[in-house]
Formats: sequence, structure tokens, C-alpha cells
Amino acid sequence: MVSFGVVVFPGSNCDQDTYWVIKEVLGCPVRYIWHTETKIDVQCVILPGGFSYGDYLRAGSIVAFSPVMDAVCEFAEGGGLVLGICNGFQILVEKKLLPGFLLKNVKLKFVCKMARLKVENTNTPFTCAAGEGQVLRMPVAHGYGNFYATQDVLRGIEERKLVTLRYIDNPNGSLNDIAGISEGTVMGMMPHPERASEIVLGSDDGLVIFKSILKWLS
Amino acid sequence: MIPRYTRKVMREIWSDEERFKIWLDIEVAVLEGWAKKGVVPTDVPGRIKEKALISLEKVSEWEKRTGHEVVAFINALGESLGEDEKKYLHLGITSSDVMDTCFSIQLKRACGILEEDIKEVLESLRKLALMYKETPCVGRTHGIHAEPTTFGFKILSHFAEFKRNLIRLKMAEEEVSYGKISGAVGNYSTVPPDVEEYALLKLGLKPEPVATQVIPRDRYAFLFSILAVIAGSIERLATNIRLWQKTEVSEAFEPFGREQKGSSVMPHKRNPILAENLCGLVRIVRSCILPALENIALWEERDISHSSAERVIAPSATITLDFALARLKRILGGLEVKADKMTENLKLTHGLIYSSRYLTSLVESGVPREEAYELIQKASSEVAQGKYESLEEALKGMKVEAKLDLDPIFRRAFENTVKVVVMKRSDVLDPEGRAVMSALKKLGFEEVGDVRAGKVFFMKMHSDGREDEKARKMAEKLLANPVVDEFDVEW
Repeated sequence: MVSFGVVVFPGSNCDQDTYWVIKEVLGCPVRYIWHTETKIDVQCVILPGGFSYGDYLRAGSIVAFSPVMDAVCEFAEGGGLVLGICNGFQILVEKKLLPGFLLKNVKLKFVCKMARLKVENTNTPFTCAAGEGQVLRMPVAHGYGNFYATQDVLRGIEERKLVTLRYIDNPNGSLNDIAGISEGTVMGMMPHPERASEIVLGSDDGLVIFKSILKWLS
Repeated sequence: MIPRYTRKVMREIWSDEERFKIWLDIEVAVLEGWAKKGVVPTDVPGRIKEKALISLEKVSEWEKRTGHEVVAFINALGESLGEDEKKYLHLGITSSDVMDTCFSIQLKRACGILEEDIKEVLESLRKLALMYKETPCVGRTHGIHAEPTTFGFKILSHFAEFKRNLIRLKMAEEEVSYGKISGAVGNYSTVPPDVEEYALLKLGLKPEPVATQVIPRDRYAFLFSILAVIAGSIERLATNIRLWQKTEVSEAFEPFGREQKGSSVMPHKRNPILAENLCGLVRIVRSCILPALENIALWEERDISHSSAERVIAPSATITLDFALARLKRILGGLEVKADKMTENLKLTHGLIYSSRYLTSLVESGVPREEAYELIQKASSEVAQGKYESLEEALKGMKVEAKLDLDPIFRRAFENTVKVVVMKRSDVLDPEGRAVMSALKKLGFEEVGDVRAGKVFFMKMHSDGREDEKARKMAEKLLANPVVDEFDVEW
């Protein structure tokens, strides 16, 4: 049994889907954490998808300064697990908990479709329940998912094997087809595992991310 | 006016050649009026216009003999015409019908030029006022630091003044847009009103409703008064420029040529001589108002005392004012404004310029007005004597009630606007810029090269000065993400 917290920012809209999967599909205790809270009392924090602060200035930029994010930083530094999904990934790079940046999709359009991902590194708290090279199908829905880092940072990311998920058909121009990266106990990914955790929605490949968390913490 | 302060176009209005040309136009217009009534053959005015040759020497020679300029003119003109034409010259009209109508025409033309001059000065003032709209500067009353204002606002007061002057000048132009063709004592004894109406309409003037032998001089006095007021406005602006250029102030400087010298013996000198020159020229323009006012009281149907004075003051005032306005425009166009010095000078009194805010604040917190005033006045005196570093400290030292929060009073001295431009770094892919570029190319703008899209932030800052550090920190922390962005800070 792992306790989860789903942070809710003004503008988050995937918090309820995430909460549902954890409660009803995983069967784990879960609570909402409001963006003004300053204490983390769960074992895994999830930053859900959405349009926090309307994506004003830059997606996730304003939220990076919410009180709860300082607590999340401390929590991560202390070894707590943090998963950022879509807008959550954007918040993590703005807060510099992960390297790089998420630019506007190269074709400038909001992309909304099923994507195929390849698991690159199974040595992380979020992919340890997957097989090396396993293909996962889950939806992407974003306007700013184009992963970018300067040449030397990108080289460092590859050398340190921080890439956890890569697009098989790159939908947004991300460098090196990067769909998700993980450093320490923090992971960010653009695709939505919480929308692919029940077969009735078309795929339950996303469940492996959550099951990895349970495996890692048990 | 001497050539040194004369511009060509205005000078030509007052030349003898031009004056005689206008006299000829008036004579011909009158004859056309007569021709309409069948008194003069219809082809005569046209023939006179064609054949007329006016020689300044001939007129001068005749005047030596006749002692009368208009008669001399008629005689000289007649020498170039045939008997059948010259017999009609000056039919039924008196000299002043020609001279005064001409005077009005000349003054009207002069007003037209002066109006254009003022419009150009207005444009220069407008640009300056907008450019320095938010440049903080100390306001001085009685020459003493009073309260903060902005340089643009100071310029704005001059702009408003010249706007008023433009309206006045137009009014004055209207006042002198009157001619007269009404005979020796102004009662149409030898020329009918319809000839006057026809001739004046043709010349662009209205008939003087009630004239004597001359056009009433109060009309012209009004114009010269307006010119004197305009001169005063020039003087106010020029004086301020001289004050701003004082070494101790150094807030604004009139243009200084690359090879210009300010002194024959002190190489460091840079003086506001153009502005000073204007203050001198203004005295000439202003001096013309007195003769103009004194010209009003002509004896009964006229005396000719006004004429000599007018031959001097009309060209003098209009040419000088024209020159002065053009020079003023040049000064404004090259005015060097030292915003940094203005900010520095604001601090000279160590915060005394905020005393009125203190007064308001103390009164609001319940201290009776008189008591509050005396407290602050005493504190100000201590600061002025150097006993305290600032009004804030002085009041604190005097144990003024703690209910007062002093900080916001000073923070709100004035606002600065900082502009931060955030662009993606050049090594980062900019799909937006690329999309814009290809769209522009599709619209036919082949010459468009690389396009980069970015963001601009305008932020009003309430602070004592330009907080460069703060602005950069804001940009680094939030406005830009240094991973992909670069930024530029501008005030």
C-alpha cells in the first residue's frame, strides 16, 4: 500500500482522472493536495495534466512558484517520488527538478492522439515494472510537448540514461524523440498514463507506470 | 530688421517690389469693379495688367517731385501705359484705399507664414512631451525645489501655450483681413460700395464696415499685441532652456555644433546662446506693440502719424518673430535631455520634496493640520541644515507618531516603466518564427529572411530610480526561462 497525493493547481484538469486510477484501479489511498499546502504527507506525489494558470507566460511557469512546489522540491530531495504528467512535466522543468524545456510543438498544432512509446530505462521507480524495450500505447494531448535541451545537456541526459520513454512516431518534434525523462526520484512524461489504465478506454499500458511505483516502494 | 535675423520669404512680403505689385493688383481690381458697372471699358483692366511696368527708380524720382508716394506710383505706372489706359488709373479712390488694403494683404500673408512656423514648433514640442512623458524631474517654484514632476509635463505646458497662440494668431489674421475702397473720408463719395465689394473679394479681403479715410488702427494693434504675446511665450520657453542648461542644473542643453566654440578664451564653454538670442529678439517684437497701440488715436478721419511707425514695426515684428520661431524649432529639434541628471537632482533636498505627502499622511492619521505642518517644517529645516540625512530620519528622530508608515510615501515618488523583451535564444528552434516567415513569403514578401517571435513585457515600477538589478532578476526568475530564452531590459 502506497499513499499518493495528486496536486491540484488552478487550471489542472487531469487531477480527477489520476485520482480515480489510483483509488479505483490501483486500490491505493490517495488525496488531493491543494497548491497552497506546504507539507507533503504521502509517499508519492503526482503533478497532473491540465492548463495551470492557463499556460500563461510559459506552461507551468507561474505554478512553479506556488507554495506547494517548494514542499515538493524538499520532498524530492529527501528521496520522495514525484511523477509529473504532461503539464506536470512542464512544471518540473520550470522548477528545474528535471533538465531541459518543453517548447511549442514543431508543427504548432495541439496534438491529440494515441502514441506508441518505447521503454528505454527500466531502472527507475516509474519503469521498473516494465520490460526493456516494451512498447506502450497511451494518449498524448498537448500543445507544448517538444522536448529541448542544449547540445551538452542533451548529451548528458543520454549518457546518464535519463530517458525513460521515447516516441516511436514523434508527434511533436522532441529532440531524440524524448517522451519522458527521470532523474533521481523524479520523472516527467508528456503522454497520459492515467488515460490508458483501463482497457475500456482503449489501452491499459499506462498502468505499468503506476505499478512500477508500487513495486519500487514495496 | 537686420539681415542677420531675417528669413527670405518673410522679407519679400515687405519689399518695395512686392508692395508695388500689390498696389497694381488693387488698382486693377478696382478698375474691374468699375468695368462691371460699365464705367470703364472692359478690356482696360486687362491691358493695364499686361502692360504695367513698375520701376522703383521711377517711383522714387516722382516721389522727390510730388512728395506723395501713391501719386508717384500712379505717375510712374502711367509712363508704361497708353493714354486710354492711364486715364482710368486710381478712378474714384484715395491713396489709403490702396495703401491700407495693401497693408492688410501683407499682414495676412505674414500671419500665414507665422502660423506655419508655430505649427512646426508645436510638432517639435509634441514629440518632446511624449518622449519624456515619464522622465522624472524636479518641479521648481520660485527657483526652489518643490515637488517631483516629469520633463515631458514641463514641455507640455509650453505645448499648450503655443496651441493657444496658434488660435490667437488665427483670430488676429481674421481681424486684419479687411480692406477698404471707400474714398477720401470713407463714405463712398467717389466710389460705390459694390466696386469695393467686388475688388476686395477678388483680393481675399472683406470690406471694412465703417471706415474713415483709413482702416481703423485698432485692428492692427490687436495683431501686434498677439505677436507680442507669442514673443512672450517664446521667451518663457527660451528662459527655461537657459535655466535647465545652468551648470548647477545641467538637465537639458541646446544643440551645440561640432565646431562651435563657446568662448574665445575658455575652451570648456558651452553656452545656451541660441536661447539667449531668442530672449533678445523677443524684446524687439514686444517693443512694436507700443507704437501699434499709439497708432490707434488718429485725428478724426485720419492723420498720417501711424504710417512711418508702421513701415518699421510691421516688417520688424513679423520678420523677427518668423526668425525666432524658426530658431526655436531648431533648438527643440536638437535639445539634449539629461534624464540621469534629472533623477540625480531630485535627490538634492534629501527628500524634502515629499513633504506635502507627509503632511497629508500625518493629517490623515489624526494630527491637526497646523501641528503637522509645523512638525514637518521643523524637520525640513533640520534636514536643510544637515542635521539629518533625510526627512524620514528627521521625523523619526523627532519621534513622530509611529502610526505613520513612511516607506510607501517614498516608494511612490514616481513610476518607471521597464520594458523586457524575451526571445528564444538563437540556437533554439523557433517554430512560430518560422511559420510567420513562411506566411509572409506566401503573401508575397519575398525579401523576408529569418523571423524570430518573442514576447514583450511593460512593467511599471514604483521606485526611487532605475532598478536595473531588480528588472534583470525578474526577467531571470520568471519572465524568461534561461534554458531557452534570452532577454533584454530597457527603460
